Amino acid sequence: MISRVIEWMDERFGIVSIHRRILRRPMPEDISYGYCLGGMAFTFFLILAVTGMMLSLYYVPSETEAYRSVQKITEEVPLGWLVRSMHKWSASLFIIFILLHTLRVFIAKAYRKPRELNWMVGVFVLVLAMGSGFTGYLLPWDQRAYWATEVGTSMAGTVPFIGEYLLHLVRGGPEVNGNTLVRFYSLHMLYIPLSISAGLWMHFHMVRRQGVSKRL
Amino acid sequence: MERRDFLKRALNFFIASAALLSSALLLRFISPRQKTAIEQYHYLMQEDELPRRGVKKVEFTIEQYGKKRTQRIFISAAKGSVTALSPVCTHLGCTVVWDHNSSEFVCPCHAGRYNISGEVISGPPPKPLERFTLRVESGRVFIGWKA
Amino acid sequence: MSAERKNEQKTFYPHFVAEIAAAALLCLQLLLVLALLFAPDTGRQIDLSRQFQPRPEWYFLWLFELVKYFPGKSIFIGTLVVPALSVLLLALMPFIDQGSSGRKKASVVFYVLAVMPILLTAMYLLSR
Repeated sequence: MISRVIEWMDERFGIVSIHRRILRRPMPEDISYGYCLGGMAFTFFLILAVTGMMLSLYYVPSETEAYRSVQKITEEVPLGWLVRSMHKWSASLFIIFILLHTLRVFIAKAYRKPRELNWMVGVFVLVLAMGSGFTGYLLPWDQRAYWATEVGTSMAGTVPFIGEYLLHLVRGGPEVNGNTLVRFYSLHMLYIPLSISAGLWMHFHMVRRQGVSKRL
Repeated sequence: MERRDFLKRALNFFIASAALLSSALLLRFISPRQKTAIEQYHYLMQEDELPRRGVKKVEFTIEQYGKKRTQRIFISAAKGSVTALSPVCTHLGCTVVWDHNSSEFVCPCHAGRYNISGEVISGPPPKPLERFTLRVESGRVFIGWKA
Repeated sequence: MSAERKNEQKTFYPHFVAEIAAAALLCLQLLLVLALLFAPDTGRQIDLSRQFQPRPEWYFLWLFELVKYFPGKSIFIGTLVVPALSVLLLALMPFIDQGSSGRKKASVVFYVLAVMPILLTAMYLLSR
């Protein structure tokens, strides 16, 4: 029954038939579990997306409300503490598994031609993931968040010549305040996740095109 | 030139200039407006409360955009002169503390050290602690605060 | 299983997807254990007049430690030059690995980039 519904839909939509060749593509016999690291990092990215979307139903990105809303998520919302905890921990695990994946790919020399661009896209995603961690750190809007951002954004101010401008740009003004919070919220919720998604799409597309690199 | 080539070139030119123009607009849009800071005087304490020697932590309240905010500064008295020093480390913006034992301001973030006048003794800070102007009017001390 | 089935070429779906699903489940379990055991608390409310010792996420500790060693005007080396150069070198790894001794060069660069943050993080932790 379900397969007939899918067939009926696919006759009009055509998405399964297009991807059949991708799904049925042969895989080398001798790949080890080390090849799972990237997939595991991606799993954490998906968990981050889901838990992030859940948190966004309660979080309020404003100077006066943010702290209270995080407190509410942690103490009042049913299972809110768990969703927040999962979001925080997946962020760390996401970074850890990207790093392990990078190490594995380097050892396998899988960055060599024709995979140079894919390696570079991977580095891009790593940097974005760290940026997401940095912007997300401010959102609880507590002492820890405020002072880490104070120090972190001050670093932008030390860039020669354009430091002052950069500082105002990242903070949305001369100091860390509600403007900074909104800016970081927007980056954390929209710009960075979209960029990571685009990066990962390119990453997977190239893996499919070039195949999994053979073991040494 | 063929009509087809001309069209292609014109289209490329159009797309490139549209991209350039919108990037310029975007850059302008995301850059916050620079406000010129205005110095305002806030009441701090009575003149006889000023320290004769040493460092005193003082808090005062400022109102900005309808919000009240508590600000902390140090009043330091050394060699007969009294100065108001900002507690913000000039390195990366952490808050410095006054260490009684060594008579130094110490930044907990990267171990920057300043002497009682706010000048850098050691560590990474590039500049001395910021000073504020103090004004005394009929026994009341005011601080000049830029915001 | 018949012999015919055994010799069948492994394909992305379902063979590889099954393994990915198993790994994903493992990830979820690892995450749940950590999330249940170490849930984050709500911090203190922002108070600009109170002294606070900031501490970044663990993957920025090396940067936090690094800026200590570039005093005064040289600070931008720690905040800009070293991090930007690290990312650039990492991204350009495929082009460092060129020619007969390419892999050696790339390995040196890669392991320096790997060891530097670990060392700096250790220095941060030891100095506390």
